[in-house]
Amino acid sequence: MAVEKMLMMNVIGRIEDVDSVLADIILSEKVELVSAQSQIEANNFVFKLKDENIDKAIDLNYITEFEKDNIYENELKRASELKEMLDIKSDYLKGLSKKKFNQINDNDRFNKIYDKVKNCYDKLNKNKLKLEEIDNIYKSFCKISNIDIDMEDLGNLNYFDFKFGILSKEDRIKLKKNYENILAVIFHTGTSDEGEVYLVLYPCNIEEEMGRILRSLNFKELMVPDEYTNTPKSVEDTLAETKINLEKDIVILEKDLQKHKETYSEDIGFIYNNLKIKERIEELKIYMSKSNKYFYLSGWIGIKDKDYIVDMLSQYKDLLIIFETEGGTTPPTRLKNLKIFKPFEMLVKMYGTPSYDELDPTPFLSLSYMFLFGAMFGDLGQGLVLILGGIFLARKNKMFGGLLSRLGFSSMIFGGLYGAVFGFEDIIPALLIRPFENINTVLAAAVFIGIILILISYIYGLINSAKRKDMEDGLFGKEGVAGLLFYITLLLLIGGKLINKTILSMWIGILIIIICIVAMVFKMPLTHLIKGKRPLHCEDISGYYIESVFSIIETLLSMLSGTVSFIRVGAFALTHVGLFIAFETIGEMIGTTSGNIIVLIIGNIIIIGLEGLIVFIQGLRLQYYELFSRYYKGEGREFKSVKINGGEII
Amino acid sequence: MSNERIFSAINTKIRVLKSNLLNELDYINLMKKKDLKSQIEYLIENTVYKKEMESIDDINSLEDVEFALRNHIIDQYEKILNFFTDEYRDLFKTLLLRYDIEFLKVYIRILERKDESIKLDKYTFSNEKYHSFNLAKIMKTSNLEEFVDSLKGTIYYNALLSYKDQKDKKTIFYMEMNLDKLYFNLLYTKSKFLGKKDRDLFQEILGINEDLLNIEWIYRGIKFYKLLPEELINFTLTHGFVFKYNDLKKMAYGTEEELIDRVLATKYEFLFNSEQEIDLYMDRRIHRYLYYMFLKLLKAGGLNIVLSIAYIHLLEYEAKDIISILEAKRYGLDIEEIKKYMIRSIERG
Repeated sequence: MAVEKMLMMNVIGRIEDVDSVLADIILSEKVELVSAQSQIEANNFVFKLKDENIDKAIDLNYITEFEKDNIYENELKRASELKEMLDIKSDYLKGLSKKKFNQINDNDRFNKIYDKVKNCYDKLNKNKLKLEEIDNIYKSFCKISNIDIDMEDLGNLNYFDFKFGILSKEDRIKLKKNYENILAVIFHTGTSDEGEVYLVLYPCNIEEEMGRILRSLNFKELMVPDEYTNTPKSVEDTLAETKINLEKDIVILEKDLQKHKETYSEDIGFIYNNLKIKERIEELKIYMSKSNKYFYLSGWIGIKDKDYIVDMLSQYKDLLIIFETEGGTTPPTRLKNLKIFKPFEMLVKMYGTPSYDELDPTPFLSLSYMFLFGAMFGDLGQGLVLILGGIFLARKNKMFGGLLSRLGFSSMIFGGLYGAVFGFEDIIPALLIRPFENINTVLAAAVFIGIILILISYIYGLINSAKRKDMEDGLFGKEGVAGLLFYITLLLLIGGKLINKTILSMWIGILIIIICIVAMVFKMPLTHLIKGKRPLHCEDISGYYIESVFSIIETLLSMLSGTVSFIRVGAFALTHVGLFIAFETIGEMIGTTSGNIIVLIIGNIIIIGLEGLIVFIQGLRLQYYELFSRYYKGEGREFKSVKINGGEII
Repeated sequence: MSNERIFSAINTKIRVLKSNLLNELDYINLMKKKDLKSQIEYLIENTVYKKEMESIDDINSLEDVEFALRNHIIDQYEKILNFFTDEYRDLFKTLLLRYDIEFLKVYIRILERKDESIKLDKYTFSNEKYHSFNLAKIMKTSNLEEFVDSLKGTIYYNALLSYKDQKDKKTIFYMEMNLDKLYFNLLYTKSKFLGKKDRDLFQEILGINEDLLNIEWIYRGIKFYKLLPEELINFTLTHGFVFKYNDLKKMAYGTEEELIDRVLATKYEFLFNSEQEIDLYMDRRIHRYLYYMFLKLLKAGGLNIVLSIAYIHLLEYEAKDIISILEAKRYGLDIEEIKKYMIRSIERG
């Protein structure tokens, strides 16, 4: 239930094992790599000088970087090509963890498979292209099949050329209006789905002009190659036959390809996987260093994974692992929380990842957020809908689905306490209170809960300051002891006035408040005085005091407004009931039973969708602004283990 | 829907937008600035182009200024589009197609001339939903055939299909002409669905525009390009206001002098009745005629489509004039000389 402890792991191993070790690390998904070079420079590769380690010590003097090895790129390209040709869609991640990365790729076998498949695929493509071409010509001849002229005769004309083509309506009219000026005979030969088909016959010597005129009319010429003699009708028949033959060939080739797919898909998947790992290995080598005989690798691991990693790497001969608790840099943060709190990590990370030395706010956030949401949106039935929605969503977005069902659960509990089912308050008795009948109580309770939550966040803030050894903020800051004391005194004084009882004498209260204010204003010089640091002020003195005084005013305001802000929890609990009453009234006004039911269903949908969203946001607002601002910084860096699918490493 | 409901909101908006147009003093000030940098600074400090001008990467690039102005116009189109629904929205979206067509023309030129220097991405819309084609699909193509195929299913496919396997150098010309023709025909088709009053008004504006383009096309075709009369007539735009097909046919098959005589007898006589150079200023004369026509329409503007159409065109002429000034300055022309190339006539200064 906290930020997990991390270890810096430095590994020295034989250079010939480097790929295999990296493959293990990638597949384990438990290590975040950092630059080994910087670890070496920080002198963190420290080990006992025994006989068997002498080599390693000497080699440390000859450190260089890894060169990028690109030979896999070409093969990876061919492997993806294979996947594409055979339409293998399988996810390469599947089965990766089981199969051990195999350093020796069977190149011969790979080449053989590639050649076979490629050959078949190319043939198929060639035939498909040919079919398309024939099909185009076939379509052209279909459009002119009703004319009974031998194509050879047309082609043999000595002084005339001909063209078949299609004209649009507009251009046809233009041609018609200007026919007297055109030196050609134009026959209408038929109609096709694209427009009217024409045969243009013109003297050979004006071929160029004719071409220009026709182009200016957007004449879509039909492809009628000279190699086809006979009448269009018989050409059409011949072509139809050719087409059928080609289609037959294509079917056979497709079957062959399918057969290849069945035979080789497992092999290809395996080769592809290995190459994919190889690609990642090469990418990761920029983090590593090498010498003549050894490689050097550094990375963060969680303490609990230490045994697993040691065990995993123990198979390599002559491999040395050194663990350090401090790697010179701040470790990344990996949150470790109970399963019921896990989805709330998303909300924490949305604000910022906790620093390594900060308390993980997730448990507090989870409990308080569930509480606030439930209090604002208490309904047994609607809560159930949220749970079901959450379970459904979890299939696509596990975190958000989980979050929703937990909120729904809390909503159901409060629904029981308020006695509300889908808005109706007359089905079950209220176990605790009916908000709408006790408005003042509900609002006051909301503020009271707010005060408790704010006090808890002060305690969190104190612990965080203590962990950071930050005396200035922890003792004298507005989120530290001084601030807490100020807040409590203020509450006691105001509370006393409200219930007309003296809890704390006014004079003592004011004295405490003044002391706190003084402490907060002089927090930097006070800290420096205690620590014996000089000068007392790090910055411009007048600037410092102006800022301090203003921040006191801001603190006072934010304490009051922050506390009152929680009144919204009560207000939304009331809105929730009020909104439903509105729909109930509309339903009754409609008069018919079916109309009433429809309105109530729509009302419930709107309440769940719209009000649910508002309450979700308002709850989040309370967390981020009123609570987080008092104790949480969120300036950490998230732990990101190296993975195969490009899990970023920093 | 009644015109009150369609236009009351947009016309109010246009009146506000129109106040952002540059005034005569702005143009004079721009002409007086000594270099491009101070001209851009002037635009930033004193005009509505602040945002666009500030985003320019290279302040020495006239091209970038041009794109910045263009982006402003597109931005205004988007604003106007929000006020319209149904067939009116359709019409304005069609007007916006000119930028898509410009992109296609540029792409064709890149394919044919292998010109790498063109900044293609500047010709696209920042909001991809305004494109009338699948941009990603087009960008993958590397020859004309693939290019045309990538347009399958769009309004452009049929207009370009017959050129996809042509190797002729003139192919680009034919493709461009067909795209332009397509644009004007689409506008005409879309205008048919407007309310009767708006339809008549729009078709008149479109018709005058087509008239002027047709005259210019045939005149230049005869005088400079030596095109076949059939080509001339076939590429004319169909929905002219004064000159119909048969008039144009006579012009296409006639001589230059006959054409001039014919035009001098109409309201387009300003094209040829000047003592000054005819050919050099023909474009500018056409623009100036249309500019004052739109200005008049903008001032008269009632509850109809004219106000929006006029505004968007005035904006385009404004961009053209700004560019003319900037360009002329670069070539060191003096103020009187610059004025000759501007669409609006500037009296002061």
